[in-house]
Amino acid sequence: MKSKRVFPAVLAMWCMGIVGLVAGQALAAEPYPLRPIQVIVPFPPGGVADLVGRPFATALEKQLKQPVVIVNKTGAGGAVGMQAQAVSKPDGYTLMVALSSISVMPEVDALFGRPPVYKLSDFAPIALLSADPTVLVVSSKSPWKTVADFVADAKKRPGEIKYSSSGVYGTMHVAMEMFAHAAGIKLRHIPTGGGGPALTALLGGHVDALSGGPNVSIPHIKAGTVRVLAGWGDKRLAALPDVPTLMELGYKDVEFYIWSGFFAPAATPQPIIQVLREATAKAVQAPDFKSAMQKMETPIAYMDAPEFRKFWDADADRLIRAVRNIGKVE
Amino acid sequence: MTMDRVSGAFLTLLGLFVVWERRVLPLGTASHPGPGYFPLLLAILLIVLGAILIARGKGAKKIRSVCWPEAPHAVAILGCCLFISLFMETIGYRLTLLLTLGFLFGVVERIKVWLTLALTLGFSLGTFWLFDSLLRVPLPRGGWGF
Amino acid sequence: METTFQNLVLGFSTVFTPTNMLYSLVGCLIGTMVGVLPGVGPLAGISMLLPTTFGLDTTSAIILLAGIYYGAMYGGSTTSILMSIPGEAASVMTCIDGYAMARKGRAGPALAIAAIGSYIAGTLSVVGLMFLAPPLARFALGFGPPEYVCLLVCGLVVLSYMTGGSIVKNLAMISLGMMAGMIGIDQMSGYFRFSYGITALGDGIGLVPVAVGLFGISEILATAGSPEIRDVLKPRFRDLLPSKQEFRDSIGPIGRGTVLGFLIGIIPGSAHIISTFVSYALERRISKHPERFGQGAIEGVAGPESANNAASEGALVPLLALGVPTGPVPAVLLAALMVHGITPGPLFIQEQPVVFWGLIASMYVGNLMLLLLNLPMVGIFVNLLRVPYRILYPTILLFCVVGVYAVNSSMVDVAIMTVMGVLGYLLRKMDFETAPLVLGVILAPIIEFSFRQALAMSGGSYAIFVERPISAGFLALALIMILLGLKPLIFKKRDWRDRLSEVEKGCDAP
Repeated sequence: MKSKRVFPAVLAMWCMGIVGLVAGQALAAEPYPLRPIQVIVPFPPGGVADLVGRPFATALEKQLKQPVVIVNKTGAGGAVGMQAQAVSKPDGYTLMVALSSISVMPEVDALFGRPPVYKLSDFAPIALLSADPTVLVVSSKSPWKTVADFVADAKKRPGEIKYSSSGVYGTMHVAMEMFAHAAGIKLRHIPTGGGGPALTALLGGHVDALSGGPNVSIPHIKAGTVRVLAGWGDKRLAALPDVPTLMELGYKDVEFYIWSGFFAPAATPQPIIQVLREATAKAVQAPDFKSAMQKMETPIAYMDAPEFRKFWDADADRLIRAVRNIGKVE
Repeated sequence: MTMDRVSGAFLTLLGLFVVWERRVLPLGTASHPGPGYFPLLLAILLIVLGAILIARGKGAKKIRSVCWPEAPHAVAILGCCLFISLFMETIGYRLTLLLTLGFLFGVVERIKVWLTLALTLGFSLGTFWLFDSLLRVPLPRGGWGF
Repeated sequence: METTFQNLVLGFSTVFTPTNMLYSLVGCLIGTMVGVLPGVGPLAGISMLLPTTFGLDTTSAIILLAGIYYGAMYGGSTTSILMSIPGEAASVMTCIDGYAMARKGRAGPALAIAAIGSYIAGTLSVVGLMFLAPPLARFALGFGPPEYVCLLVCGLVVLSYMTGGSIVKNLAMISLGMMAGMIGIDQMSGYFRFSYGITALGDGIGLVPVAVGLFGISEILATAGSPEIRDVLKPRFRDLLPSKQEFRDSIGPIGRGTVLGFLIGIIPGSAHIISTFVSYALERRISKHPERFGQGAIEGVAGPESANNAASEGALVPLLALGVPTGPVPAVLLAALMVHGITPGPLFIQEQPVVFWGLIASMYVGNLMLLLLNLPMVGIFVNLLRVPYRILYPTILLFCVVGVYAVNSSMVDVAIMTVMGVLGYLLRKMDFETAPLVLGVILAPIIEFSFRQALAMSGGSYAIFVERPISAGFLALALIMILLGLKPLIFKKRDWRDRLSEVEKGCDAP
């Protein structure tokens, strides 16, 4: 009759569960933060969001006096993690560090007639952490020395010049198409599985150009294996002072940044947002965070919530127009 | 019915289902295959292989000859897997595992109560501590933080 | 040559400081642990420790992180052999014969050979890394989509020798796996395929949940209720080490696995998984007794385990020589270097000799440490099998759940694992093999994507596959293998498959 002895054990476990539940509810109204905080990074380890997020989490931890844990919730180009954040409990214990691609996804869903995975209004921006314009890089074996050469050649043979990207509707794709649209040229898009593979394709001579982050391109520019023609920023990059911006060259409104921002769910109570804003303002000043970002050659571009909101709105507008111009890829 | 025929029929049906489901995906052309090109190719392959299995399956083992001595256990374990998949995110890792391990050790395997309790508590709390606290691999907590 | 040795002396003088030795040891320890625990792969291990290395000196940091990386490859085989749960994706092939050996009471030799093979492969690959890194890296960059397609065509031809049983059934399993591999966002166009509104299926069904479900869970389902048959598993001491015969059988596979693994590892992409199945298929193809494979052949453990270790070090070649990460783990290592202000590029070896040669030297030392760490642990691990299965299996289930969940923090993955467990269980009952299914899931997205990338590059012309020398070479190789495969049809010789079916018939009659 062993089964009789088992029953109390199971019962005991159920009771423990109920006690835990009641105790947990009682704690819910306490000041913030009381528990470890999760920061969702919707991209795999080693990507821009992860690289910015980890030192930032370490710096934030010191301000909030609670563990801040990075969770890489990856999938579907970041949509999985962003969706998880959009539907998470707005209690300030689930936050997110996301990239500019956050603005693109709802538009792509609309393009394909799918119900959107999340809306931009699901998120409350807390702070902008970094913003890096991409640069136009071509193989050093290619004949193009300036953007004008590149555009002239592309006009002569439309759809022949190949460029690689991190994936369809990814940052590297949208940036390049934004430029191609403004210059009135047609390029051939070869999507790859990420930023690394896209660069590999260029170095291996499988494609002719790409629009990539400056920090990973600079060592190859220095070594002379690739040539940089222009940048997507509103002003020249500090690390590449001789490289003109596309806007300087007369391509109007061609502006693109790979930026990373810190978000909370939209319904998060104002006091909690306030705590997070203050902690973030101090965290970005922390020497550890500053030196980590400097070593990665990713300049800190801190903006507090109101300015960040303005910046984000303008940026999202540009990206949405670019995606509409690309249209559906068959 | 032989085993091969049943499985062949299943594969064929699956192939047909994929052919039907694929219709929303553009096919593209042989020189520019679209998103529906490979699925269609594979579905046809599946149908052909299924048909071969059916055609040659006469001499295979009879489906009735398969015996299921472990079925009751398998169903119990499967139930646990389903329970975990459905509830772990809502009631938290520790509670889910307390319940599942308690059920498997105590009810299915009828292990002594004290051992059941020790194993259940030890494993569910111990692994949570190891992974979540020590290794910082976040495991789900229930709505009330446990 | 001379400068290489001078540099190596510089490297060893960097490593043989107490702090760096300590970091190497810590890295290897954590790596082994991370490899043994399912789900927490090298990727998670390295990114978790990344912030703690911010304060360290660059060389120490990279020695620590690299230790985790190759240490995890040692540990990955442990759960595959003991419980048929692949500790990480590259250990899938080890599950087949490793677990079969464990069921015959030969878990000790399997674990020992896995460790020894890993050691030999690891050390030889460092030699390769040291002398050949720059030229090989340039070769690797030449490897674009068309080459990938042809390599995989070649791989698929080899694959047809992969497993025993009926060819039709194996082909059906590969197709079914490839079909499952189609689920998710189409990378060329952005269409969602067969995902039925579940966003988490966007990146497809993950490899880890599929492998753990098909091997681990289905094993539990099939074994839990059967009467205890595990008396044979109680090992005596002399059963812990491989016999002379087993050593002799393993030398060839380890050597071939090392070369294959290193070469395939250099290629960008998830190549270390491919290297294991190519190695397994190759060993089976050239074995005099292919029918032993799947029943606990030590060659089936030695080959793939050496290959995955060699591949993990081969993957460092493009990273160190050119600054190009070829997979997720090298990408995190690149990130680690960047956090310390070093962005490896083509000039890395000249500009940072202390870091590069220190890393190389630390890999020699680390591999030796891992062998010394892992061999004594064989005894401990094997004793786990003394635990009655009715206590062991709920624990295995728990580790499967944690492991699968931890990869993406996703409950959908746990659900996929469950579904795959049921599928694997039913397929076993119907006499299907599950390994080809897993390989289909792995290969389908790579083949399809590379194929369409190649055609996009050429503007739709198929000539691209024969115009480029490497891809043409692979196609020729595939053709030769097909012709060799047809030989028995013409010369009417008894194929090993006939022998295998005889063996199987013999098993049926008790």
